[in-house]
Amino acid sequence: MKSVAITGMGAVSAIGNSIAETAVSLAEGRSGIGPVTLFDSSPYPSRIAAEVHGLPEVAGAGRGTALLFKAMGEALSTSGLSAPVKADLVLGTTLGGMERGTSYMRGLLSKGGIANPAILDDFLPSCQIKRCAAAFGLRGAGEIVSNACSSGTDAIGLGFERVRRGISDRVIAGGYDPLCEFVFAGFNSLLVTAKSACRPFDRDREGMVIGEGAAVVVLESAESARARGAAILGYVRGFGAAADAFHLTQPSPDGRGIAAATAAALSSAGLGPASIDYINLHGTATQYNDVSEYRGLAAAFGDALRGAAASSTKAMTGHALGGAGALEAVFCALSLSSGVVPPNLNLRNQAPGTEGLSLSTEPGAVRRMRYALSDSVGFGGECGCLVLERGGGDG
Amino acid sequence: MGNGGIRPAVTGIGTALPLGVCDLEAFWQAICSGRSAVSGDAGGRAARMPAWDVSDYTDSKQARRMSPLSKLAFASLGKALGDAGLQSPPAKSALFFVSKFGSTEFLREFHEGLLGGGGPSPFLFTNGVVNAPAGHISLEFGIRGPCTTLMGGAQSAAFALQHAAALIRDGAAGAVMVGAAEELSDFFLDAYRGFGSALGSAMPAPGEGGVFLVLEPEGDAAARGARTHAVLAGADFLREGDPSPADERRMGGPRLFSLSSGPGRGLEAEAADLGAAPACEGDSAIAVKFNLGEAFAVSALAQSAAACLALSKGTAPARPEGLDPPGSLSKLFPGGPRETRFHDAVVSVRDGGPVRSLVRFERGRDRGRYCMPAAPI
Repeated sequence: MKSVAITGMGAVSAIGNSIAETAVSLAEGRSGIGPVTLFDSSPYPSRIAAEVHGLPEVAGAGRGTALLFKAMGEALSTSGLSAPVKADLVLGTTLGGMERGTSYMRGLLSKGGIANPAILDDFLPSCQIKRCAAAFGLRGAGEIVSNACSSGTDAIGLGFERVRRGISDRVIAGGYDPLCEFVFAGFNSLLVTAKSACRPFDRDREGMVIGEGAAVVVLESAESARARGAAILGYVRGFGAAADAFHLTQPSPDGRGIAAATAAALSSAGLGPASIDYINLHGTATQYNDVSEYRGLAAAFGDALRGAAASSTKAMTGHALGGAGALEAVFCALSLSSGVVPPNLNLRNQAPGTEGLSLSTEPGAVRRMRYALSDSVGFGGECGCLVLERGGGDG
Repeated sequence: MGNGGIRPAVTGIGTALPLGVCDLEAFWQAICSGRSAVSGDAGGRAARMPAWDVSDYTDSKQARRMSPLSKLAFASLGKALGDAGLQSPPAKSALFFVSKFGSTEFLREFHEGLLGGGGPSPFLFTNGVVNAPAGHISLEFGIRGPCTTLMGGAQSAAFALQHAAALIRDGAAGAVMVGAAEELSDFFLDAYRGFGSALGSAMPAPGEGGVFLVLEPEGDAAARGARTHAVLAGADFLREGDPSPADERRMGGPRLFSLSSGPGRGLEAEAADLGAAPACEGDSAIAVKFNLGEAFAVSALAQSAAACLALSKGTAPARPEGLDPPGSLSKLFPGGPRETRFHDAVVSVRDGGPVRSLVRFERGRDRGRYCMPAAPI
């Protein structure tokens, strides 16, 4: 099995349009949540979201593609790769270009019922990866993972597996999702959205805040990275995935899916739980998720859980759905590199029954860290977990 | 297309397709006789499922929660498990499910509520997400390993089979179910044809359905006395600049080529690229898009299913209706089914992009109901 290095990273979210901006926001605990501006949110209980501002448009494409292009360009640039790039592409998304689908439906349902089918060109994720491959000169296979909110984590995980096993020499992996009315309305209809703030693991948490974003990493064998003189920004050491087979949308109360995915990721990394210095939690701040997630992690970590600093960054970024897991993997890599633990904002009273988590609440807290773990949970009961190592080790 | 230590055996195949509906044997007989499910007038040709009822395969309460897509996925997996002789998936099972479009019917209905004043439906939102079929399957069959949904289209089949093989070879999964489903809603058909008109190109007749393969470690399958349709020998992508498979040194006997070209769409070029034409003695080809229309991710899995059946039954199907092969391909597509003891089968998938995928199956060792006498592999 090969050692899998991260040689490029790109990120765009409500807390920054680049890796540098993102790192500053994580350190300062800056939230990107505010009123919805992309569509009329007045019909919905929640009217806040974590939007990306100042996003360059991509001609003929929707917001999902624009987010993806932003993160992709930065990742390739930091990796020192330029077209043609021999790499496979594995991206996670829930809905890709759904705002295009909604535009099409709006036309179809309007008076006269005329919809422009050309809009659909950037609707399907499979179209977006082809567009991405063409724009960045990628020469490889392309795949879309759509495991709901675990998509980004699982895409990086499958990319990791491909490089580790020698199926692919290099994989560009990540996740993306734009904010659109479809998902905003959908989550509001489930009554799981917050009206004022995202408070992960707080006793008085009121639900999730929808966000958007994209993150992309370049994965290649450490040997290949060293041979071409690429900087190694970190390593992906392990990946685990599991389904909890409990309910289509609610996580299992005992967190068995997260427990299994975490145990599998640690096993894949060849590490015990005590090795993990930081956990980036899924932490959506819904009633169901936070308790279930805690129980799953407690089952996988045992007493070692208290020894790891932990935080959910969704109080800053909102929940970027298919982009979330990829963003949070990048946050882990940045934290391992800088030693700064991202804060779990808006925590006033830790939720009863989650006391075993050592939540880090102060912005700028510094800790010497080598390994971090990031977990994600999606509709369908799919759970994914990644283990990352700080760059600069022996690989 | 290399081989590891533990070989993944295809022990179960399940279909919910316009040919044969949920009866695998009827599907195979239709393929063998060259039947096509594509019907309709010039502008509206499609291969649609005849009337069928998923409640034959699950309870009616559960069926009411499912999108047409989930129903196709659910029924085809249920049939695949039955074909494998499994009441339920073994412990440590994993799932790969592929759909390029998801449930367009639930998408339309959700939008009608959202934009039409009725309000967004939480039921349609949660059951309409692309991985809802995988979620339903995980719940109903108790699958607690990785359940991964892919949306890359036809090429996703090779991707899924690569990872399935890796899980089996590592001993990380006792079985992996790999399948696909696509549904043809009226909404989808309108958009599909409109999209073709906007592009100024004739779109191939679309198809729908569901296909699943059950893969298990070959040794485990043999130990429980399971029939093996075929063994997955390898799956890979051909990227720009890679050597042509036509230059591959062939080993063993006759080969079956399962081609992805449909009517009017590059059959000759695909066969030449694979080294299938001119044909070696005994080689044959199938092209299921002539039988089932362009069913995207389902097509690729149906190609694999048909290839596995051809290996295990030792039969080369007759050329499909509507295929009048040029001289260079006439030997590949026999006028009627013929008995052939294939050494292996190559499934070629191309979707118009620069990357193609190849999946190779070999005949299983088992001497069960479908298998020809075993030969050294």
